Amino acid sequence: MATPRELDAFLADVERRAYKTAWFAVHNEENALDIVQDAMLKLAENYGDRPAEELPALFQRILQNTIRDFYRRSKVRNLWTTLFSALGGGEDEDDQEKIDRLRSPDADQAERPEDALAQRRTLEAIEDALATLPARQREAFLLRYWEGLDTAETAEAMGCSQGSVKTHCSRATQTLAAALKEKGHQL
Amino acid sequence: MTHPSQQHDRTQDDLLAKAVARALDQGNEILPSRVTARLAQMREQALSHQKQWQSALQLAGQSTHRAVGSLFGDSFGSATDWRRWAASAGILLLTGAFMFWQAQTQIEDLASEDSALLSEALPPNALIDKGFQTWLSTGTPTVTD
Repeated sequence: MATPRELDAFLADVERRAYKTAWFAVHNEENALDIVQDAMLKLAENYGDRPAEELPALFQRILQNTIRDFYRRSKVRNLWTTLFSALGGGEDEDDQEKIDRLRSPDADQAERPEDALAQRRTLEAIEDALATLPARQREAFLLRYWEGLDTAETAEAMGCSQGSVKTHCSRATQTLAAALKEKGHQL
Repeated sequence: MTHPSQQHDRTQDDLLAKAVARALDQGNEILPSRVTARLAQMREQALSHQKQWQSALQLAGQSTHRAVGSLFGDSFGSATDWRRWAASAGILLLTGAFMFWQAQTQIEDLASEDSALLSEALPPNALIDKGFQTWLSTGTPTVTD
């Protein structure tokens, strides 16, 4: 059974990546934080008695399911939002969202050194490209390469076959490479 | 067999993926403080829920204890209860011993009957012979010299 200390260490290690994973999926800070909070609580409440080594795969599965639940819940809400936007004919929210997404989390801060700026722009380009990936491709890519799960663990977390994971990862990588090349970024 | 160019593509993909992961890791270092503060707060909350889960186990244990207590009296767990438990166990033990003694006596009775039968000069089959039973009931002839 994971001790509170082990659970604390695990969550501290994974929380930032979890937040960004959720953010890539929902493009909204508050919603991303809510998703991570839900996932953390579900893990602690329902799987707090599991051994520490089982926590990463369990948490990733919970996180992905919580993101899917968010999509389902917001589906109807988005429909109404789209309808109201169409009727209102006001500002283009999609464009505004794109601008928000391109802005760095603390872009309002004072100027930074050039290398930091270049790094920030590359990161923005990566995040932007990740955000535009199909959900399953992004999910597979982040689990496999960012969370460091192997193909079998990724397949388990996503509830699909290992072959599908490989396909999603390959397509995601190709799309990312093309997007970064197009924007003149090199890694 | 994998073609060398495919292998090369895979290596390139792998390198790119790792570079992206590294860049994302660096990006994690510059999250706004409000986000990191909220994440820390959420972690604390999750941990307290794990503690609550553990407490729930303890509570469940206590409720079971109380439920058992209600069966045997409200002061379950006290010295009086232990005496009550000991008395109940003693009664159970005595009842068991009595039943065992009865069973043993029955076995011994049957054994003594068997041995009496076997030690008789009369063969045991004679006792289940109807003719012999009739002969016994009509009257035993007097033994004369």
